[in-house]
Amino acid sequence: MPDTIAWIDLSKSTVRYTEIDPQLVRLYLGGRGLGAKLLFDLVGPEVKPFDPENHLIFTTGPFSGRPWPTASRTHVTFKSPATGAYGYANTGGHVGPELARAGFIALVISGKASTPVYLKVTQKKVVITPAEALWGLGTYATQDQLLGEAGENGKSGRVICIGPAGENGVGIAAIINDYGRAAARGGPGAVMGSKNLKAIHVLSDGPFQSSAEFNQATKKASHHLITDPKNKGLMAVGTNILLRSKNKGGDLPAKNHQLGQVPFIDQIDPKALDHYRIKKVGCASCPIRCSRISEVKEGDYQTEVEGPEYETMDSFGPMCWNSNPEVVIRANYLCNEYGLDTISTGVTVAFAMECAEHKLLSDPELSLEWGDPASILGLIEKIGRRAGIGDILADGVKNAAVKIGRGADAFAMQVKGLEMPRQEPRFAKGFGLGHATSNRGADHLYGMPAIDLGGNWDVARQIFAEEIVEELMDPANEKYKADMLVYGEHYCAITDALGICKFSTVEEYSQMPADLLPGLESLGMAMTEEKLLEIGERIVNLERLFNVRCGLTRQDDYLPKRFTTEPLPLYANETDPVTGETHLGQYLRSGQLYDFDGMLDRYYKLRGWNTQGCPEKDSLIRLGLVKEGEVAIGKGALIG
Amino acid sequence: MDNPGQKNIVIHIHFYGFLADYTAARRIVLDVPNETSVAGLLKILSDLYPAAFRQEGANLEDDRSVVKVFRNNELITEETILQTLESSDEMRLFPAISGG
Repeated sequence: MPDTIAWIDLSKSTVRYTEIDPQLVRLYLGGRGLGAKLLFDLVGPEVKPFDPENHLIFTTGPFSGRPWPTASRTHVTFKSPATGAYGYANTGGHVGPELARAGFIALVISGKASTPVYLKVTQKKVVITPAEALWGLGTYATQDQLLGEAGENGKSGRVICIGPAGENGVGIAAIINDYGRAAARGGPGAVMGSKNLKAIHVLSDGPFQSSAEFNQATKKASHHLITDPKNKGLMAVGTNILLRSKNKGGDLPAKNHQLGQVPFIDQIDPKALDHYRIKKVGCASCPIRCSRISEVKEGDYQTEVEGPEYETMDSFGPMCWNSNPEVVIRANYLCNEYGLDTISTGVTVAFAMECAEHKLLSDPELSLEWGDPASILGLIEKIGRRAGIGDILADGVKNAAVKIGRGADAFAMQVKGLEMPRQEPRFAKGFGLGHATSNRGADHLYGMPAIDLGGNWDVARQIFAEEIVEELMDPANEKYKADMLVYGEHYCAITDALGICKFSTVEEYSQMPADLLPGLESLGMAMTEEKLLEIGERIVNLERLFNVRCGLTRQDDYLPKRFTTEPLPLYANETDPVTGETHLGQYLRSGQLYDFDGMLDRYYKLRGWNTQGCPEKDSLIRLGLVKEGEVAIGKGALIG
Repeated sequence: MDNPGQKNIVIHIHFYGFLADYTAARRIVLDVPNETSVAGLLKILSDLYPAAFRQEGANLEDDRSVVKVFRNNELITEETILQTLESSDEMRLFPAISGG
């Protein structure tokens, strides 16, 4: 098991090594849990995201580097430039397992190098290395330079790096690894850039041995994932399997959430995307392999890229009212090259287009008209370089709306400063609540509250009291969405803390928390399902305390007004039996959030938080977070 | 679904998500011929509500199927789709959209 923490101070150019405290592993596992604990202890409310005192913390989990199915994830924790509060991002690929095999459970990076550097990580060793020659390069060239011809096959290690966007302090900048995976959300690329840190190159001595018990548990878990019929679509098609059904149900956000459906679904659906698919790929240890390499062979948008997956597809497709998949594929490539979050960038482009529609924003070179390919691709480059209006947009829609003024905030689809992912809260109401309450800002992966949308009736009956299941499973019913979200948040936190992918857990509940226990037990971490879920709850509460300490309150747990004031019409997708073409036909109903405050109140109550969204004493005692509560809230608040 | 001389059975069907919107019903009671299988029921529903089911992979053997079917709380799979329905069976149909 990886057991070493490297403390890297870029200002002093020093590296210190310590062994992980076993108590931290018992309380937080690793990955997201460990990152949350370290950030809480190291970064106070006075530290600004680009201060050298901010920390950028890369963590792996107990399953990382082992053959456990989907144990591919790397977690990055930081104070976010997007939200000014708690931030994390999580990426797949191969770099996390490589880091774990090199013996590291965490790289804790602070300070700021005087000139550009990269970290060369080998077996339990980190060397701060000059990187002037890499500064200014895109992420593909950076990886090529560090890995040489061995490149993508991993023989010369793995690289995680920033592109020009991170160097330029773009607030929506991502960290890119493995030629197409991204730790994207919340601006980690900008934090990395602020430290003059261009890349981390990891090369371990190779796999470590796992016990026969662990390998047996792994084999069973892998077999289950491969044979579970619930995973069939994800394995066969990838996340874009969602496109058609979301369009039918009004859950395909379009035109900056002015609509929830598009009339051009045939042009962007999985069948259309098959034309560009050249290869199916997967992350380390993954039997699901949801990812695809796409290629536009000729024309204006000639590109090869890993993706686009669903979130990117909607961000640069329906959200920008773009029906050309080649433009989405090109946009995906440009975001990777510059090192940008595809969700935040797509939402920001859509925001710019709606601002232009209302004559609040213009550009001398780009029309900013809905669906205009030149505007979509041109804005990505301008944002990445902070050129022209790209400088206004570079820090995301919340900050751009402040700069533009004149009511532009009405078009800013964000929560806590983080652009919304690609669900429509007026139809996917669990996600609406989840986007609002997530501690890292609008986020579909914080709680993945989709037991209802995913049709997991059997799972709901297993988890929840029988009398609430019928209403809980109705996506339009708001009454028990909080219950679904709270459970999902705990399970998501565990998943992130172990270093595994949510497509093996909360996406379809193919594995329940109890299914993870044999793997943990074989690593000497035997516990009950209840204790495992309590770790998830502890992580969520600690993240909330970080935000409370930053001054966030109930007011920061709301969606943009569009979602509570503008009903969204749903039209039947009608397919012509002769031509096979789909169009939007008969009006069916409108999607609407009726009592968002009621949902929020229940969420706080279930969590044991007060009406302002702050954890209360009893919860903190139960979770062993009294000390952290005293730091965040003050000793007085916990007396009595 | 009546055919002269053929015995029918009664099936209770619950629709969720957009299937309820497209069928304009949350719950229906359907008479189907005796010996109808789950697959047969899906075919009947596709004919009754083409907008709801067409292209949604009502055939569960399709890799792109996004409909989940439960018969008396048990998930129907490729292996069980030819099960013969019995009178008073309770079917639940979900458009399985999931996350992102």
